[in-house]
Amino acid sequence: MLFVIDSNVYIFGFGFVKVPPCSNLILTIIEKYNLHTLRISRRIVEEVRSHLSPEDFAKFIKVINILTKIDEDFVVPFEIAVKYEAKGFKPADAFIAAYTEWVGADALVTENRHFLSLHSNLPFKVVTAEKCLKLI
Amino acid sequence: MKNKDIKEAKRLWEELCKSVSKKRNPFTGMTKEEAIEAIRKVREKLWEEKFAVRH
Repeated sequence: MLFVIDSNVYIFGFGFVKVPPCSNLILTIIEKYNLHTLRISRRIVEEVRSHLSPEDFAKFIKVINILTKIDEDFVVPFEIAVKYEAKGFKPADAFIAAYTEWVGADALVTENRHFLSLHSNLPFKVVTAEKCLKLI
Repeated sequence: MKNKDIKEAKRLWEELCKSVSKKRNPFTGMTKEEAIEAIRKVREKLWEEKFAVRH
């Protein structure tokens, strides 16, 4: 499966807030690298950066560079994000949804209840880390 | 990804989590939902800053 993991899952995965499925999910994706693909946008990387020290952020980038490559935000067509804004997403959330659609991901993994409440009729699943662990 | 890369990714992730646990926690005293809301606010702030730079 191809996943986009939202910034809140990475941030909880670090252990700032104890949400064990978030850290377990990252480790599981690392261990099952031959079965699953991870994609990440510059936007999500920047959000993670704002919660880490420069030293820890450098470690995060090393992990990401082993797992995948970072997609620049400008590659995502503006029109796709507009479609999600029309569905009721805030602009920044609409961008993440557009990115998830653009890469053709099977699922967006997020703990953000706004995503989870607006997830009907999307071209990808929206799941929590806990639910994602059950899927993989 | 090679096996040595998997080991390295796991090692780095665990090292990162250990390092984070020793730092100031910006979400101290918050519930999970409050932390999610705080992260959302950062998302919106960063988005507005980006938008302001471009326009």
